[in-house]
Amino acid sequence: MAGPVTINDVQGLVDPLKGYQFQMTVAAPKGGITSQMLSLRCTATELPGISLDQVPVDLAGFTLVYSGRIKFSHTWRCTLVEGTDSVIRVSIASWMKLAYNWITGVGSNKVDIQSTAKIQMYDNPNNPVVANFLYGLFPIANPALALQMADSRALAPDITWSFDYADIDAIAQQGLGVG
Amino acid sequence: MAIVPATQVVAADVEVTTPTPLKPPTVESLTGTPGTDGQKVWGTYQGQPIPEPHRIWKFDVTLPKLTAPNSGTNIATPIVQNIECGFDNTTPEQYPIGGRHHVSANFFDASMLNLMFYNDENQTPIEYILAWKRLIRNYDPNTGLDDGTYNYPEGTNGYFKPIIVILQNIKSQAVYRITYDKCFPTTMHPMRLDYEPSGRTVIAQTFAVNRIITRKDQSSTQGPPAPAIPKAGAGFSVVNLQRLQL
Repeated sequence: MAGPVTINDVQGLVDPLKGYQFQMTVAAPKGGITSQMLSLRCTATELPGISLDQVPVDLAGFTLVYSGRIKFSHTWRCTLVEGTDSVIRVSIASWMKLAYNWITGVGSNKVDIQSTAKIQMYDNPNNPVVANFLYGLFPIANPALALQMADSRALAPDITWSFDYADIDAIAQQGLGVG
Repeated sequence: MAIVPATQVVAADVEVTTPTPLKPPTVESLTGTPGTDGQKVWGTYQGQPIPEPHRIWKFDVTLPKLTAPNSGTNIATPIVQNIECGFDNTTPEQYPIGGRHHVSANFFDASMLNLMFYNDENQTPIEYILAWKRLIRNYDPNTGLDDGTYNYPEGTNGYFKPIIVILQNIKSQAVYRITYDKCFPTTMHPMRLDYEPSGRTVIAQTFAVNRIITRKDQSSTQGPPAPAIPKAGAGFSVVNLQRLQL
């Protein structure tokens, strides 16, 4: 693009992606909760980041930087609004208890506790545009919840999950991913 | 700058040839620059292209297949988590002549090979190493009893086995092969168990090696090609080329 930007250039851009146009789905969750219930109660979440390690090499008094391995944070969070049935807190605790029963000391194999999460983004007419996937997912933190009578506020715990890796279907379509 | 002579006389019977001084490298020459037509230009150092560094995680280890001596069933092969690749070592031999020590090379010997295995709930690496050790000394793994007999190292059922390490480039192509020939397990390091952390166990094992064979794998791409000198008119100016050639 030569020359300064004109209004025609910026008018040709597609609409911005909105942070509220998403749906989170956890496939076949453990702990006695349905996938639909988790989706409906999710009010906030995050798209997982991807970072590429740097491999610095010092040569002749200079530092060259090569690409290293892809690294993930391996943790992901979502906010789930609690109901009067405490289904979120109970089911997440049950899922974690399946991973390691703190009463009996018996755990489960990872293949029996892991799931896959999908964060689907939508455009303005609610057409799905890009989906982010998290693989090898299971909950690792059911946080403490502060209770108080001063506010009229719904309880909405931030659940932290562990995952092995993430992928984006837009990348997968280029033959670079596995999602 | 003083002109360095091409030849210096150090001693009466020793002549050292000094290479022509090279232009000092710059960060630009080390990095290389893309041409105006998008063609890659590799970074160079002293006129040689700088290939990609070998990444520490780009390797693959092939262990020999073992079978149980009595039943003949296959023993599961463990997964190598990390390895310290030793090479041939030469120790210096000193001897005094004419009031000073002279040093020459002594025997070659191969380094010991240290492997760390991913340990699973089936204790696959322990089973594997013990199966290998049963090729050295005959004993019953169930009772621990042995009849005091040992086996020969060579042959199909001998305890000399090769361990092959393949070094890969960033494209996961095999570029170098190190064959540790005639290996056998020596020290099996203790496995730490602990109630406190949420950790896992690993198995570390040292192998004795008789011979180390290294060779480049000719069947695959070996790093970057030698930088082709672009012809005039290919989007490069002669000035740029000279700047890149140190």
